[in-house]
Amino acid sequence: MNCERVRELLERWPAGPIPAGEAEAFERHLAGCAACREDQADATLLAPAVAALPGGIEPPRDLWPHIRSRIARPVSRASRWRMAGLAAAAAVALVTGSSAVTLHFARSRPAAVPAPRVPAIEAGYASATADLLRALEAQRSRLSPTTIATLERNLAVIDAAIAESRAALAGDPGNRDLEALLWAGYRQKVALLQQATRLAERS
Amino acid sequence: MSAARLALRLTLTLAAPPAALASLAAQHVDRRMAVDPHASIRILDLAGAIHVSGWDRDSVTVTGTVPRGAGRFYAGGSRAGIKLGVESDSLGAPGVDLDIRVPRGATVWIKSSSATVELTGVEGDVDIATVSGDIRAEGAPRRISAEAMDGDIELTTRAAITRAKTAGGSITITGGGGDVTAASVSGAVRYTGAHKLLVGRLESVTGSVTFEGTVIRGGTLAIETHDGPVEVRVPPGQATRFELTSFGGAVTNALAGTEPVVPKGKPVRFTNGEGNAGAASVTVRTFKGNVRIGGT
Repeated sequence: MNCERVRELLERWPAGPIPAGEAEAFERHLAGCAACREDQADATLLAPAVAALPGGIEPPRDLWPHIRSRIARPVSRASRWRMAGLAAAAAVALVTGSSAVTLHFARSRPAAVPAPRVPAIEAGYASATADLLRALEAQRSRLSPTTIATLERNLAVIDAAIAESRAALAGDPGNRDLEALLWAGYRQKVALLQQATRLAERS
Repeated sequence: MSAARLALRLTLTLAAPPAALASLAAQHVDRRMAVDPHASIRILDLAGAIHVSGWDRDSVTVTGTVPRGAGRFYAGGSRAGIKLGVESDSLGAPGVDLDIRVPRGATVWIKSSSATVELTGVEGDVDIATVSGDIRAEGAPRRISAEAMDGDIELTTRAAITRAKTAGGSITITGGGGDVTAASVSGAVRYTGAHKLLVGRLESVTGSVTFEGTVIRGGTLAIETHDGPVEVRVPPGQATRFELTSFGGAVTNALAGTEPVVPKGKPVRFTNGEGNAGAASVTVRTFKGNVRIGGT
C-alpha cells in the first residue's frame, strides 16, 4: 500500500472504517511511514470536530417574513449607545472623505449605487446592530467605564472600515471582493456587540 | 470599669497576635472536592488571577486568598459538576488569586472581569471569557474558546476547534491545527502552526495578521483585514492555491522569487508547488493593507 492510498482511506476514516482486506497493509504502512502517521494523528484530532458538524442547514420556511418585518421595523428611540455609534460613524465619515483609496474609486468610476441586494443586506445588519445596542444599553451598568471606552473605540474602528468599504463599493458596484469586505465589517460589528452583551450578562 | 481593668483590656488588645488580626483582613481558601473525571467545572472570579491546571486525579482543589472587601468565596455542586468562585457586587473589588486543579478530562468554563486567566493541561472542552484580563492557555484541550474585550490571548494549544476573539488585544496561537478562527478588531493576530490546519479564518480590522504553517491538503485558510498588513508563510513545496486582493496595498509574492507589480484592487491568483488537485486554498482579502507571501 502506498501513501496515496493511505491518505484516501484516512480521508474517509474514522466514519468509513478501513476495509478488512486492507487493514493489515494499512497498519504495516503506518508503522513504517512517519508522514502518514502524522496524517492519521490529524484525522484522529479532527474526528470530534467533523462529527459535530451538521449534516445540512435548513433555513426556516418562514425566514423571509421575519427578515422583512425586521427591515420594516420603525427606528427606535436613539440611545446613548446609538448616539455614540452615530457620532463615531460621522467622525469616521469625515476622516474617510480624504482616504486615498476612496478617492481612487470615486475618481476612476462614475458615481453609482451599490448592487440592489446591498441595501437590503445592510438593512438587516442595521436592524441586528440596533437590537444588540438596545440589549447592551440595558446591561451598561455591569460594564466598567474602561470596558465601555474600549468597546466604543473599537466600534469606531469598525465603523471607519465599513464607511471606507461602502464608499469604494459605491464606486465599483458589484465588486465581490469589496462586498465581502463590507460584509466582514458588519459581521465584525455584530460579533463585537454580541460579545460585549454576553460578557455583560455573565458579569 | 476601673482604670486598672481598662488598662488591662487595652494592653491585651494591643498584644493580640498578628495572625488573629490578619484573619480579619483576608480569607484563606483551601478546598478539595471529589468529582468525575469528565466533570463540568464553572469558575467565576471578577479580578485578580485564575490559574487552572489539569491533573490525573478525580478531584478539584482550590487554594488562594480572598482579601478583605473582595467578596465571598463559594464552591458547591456534585461529582458531575461544580461551581466555584468569588461573589462580589463591586466591579472595583480587590483581586483574588485562585489556584485550581481539575481532572485532566474536565470541561472547564471560566469567566472573569479583569482577572488574568492561565490554563494548562486540561484535555476537555475549555471556554474562557474575560473582559479586560489576559488569557493564556497551554496543552491539548478538545475544543477551546477564548474571548476578551481588551486583553491579549495567547494559546499554545492543539485542539480540534479553536476560537479566539478580542476587541483591543492581540491574539497569538502557537501549535494550532484543526479548525481555527481568530479575530481581533484593533490588535495583531499571529498564528504559528506546528500542526496542519484544516480550516482557518484569521481577521483583524486594523491590526496585522501573520500566518506561518501548513494548510492540510484540501484545507482552506481565509484572512481578512481592513488596513492591517498580512504576511503568509507556507512550505515552499506544498501545493497551495492563492487568491490575494488588496485594494490599496501592495501584494508581494516572495515565494516565487519574484515581486510582481500588481494593479491595486485586482486579485492575484497563482498556485504554488506541484499539482492543482487537492491543493490547499489560501485567500487573503484586505482593503488597503500590504500582503506578503513567503516560505517557511
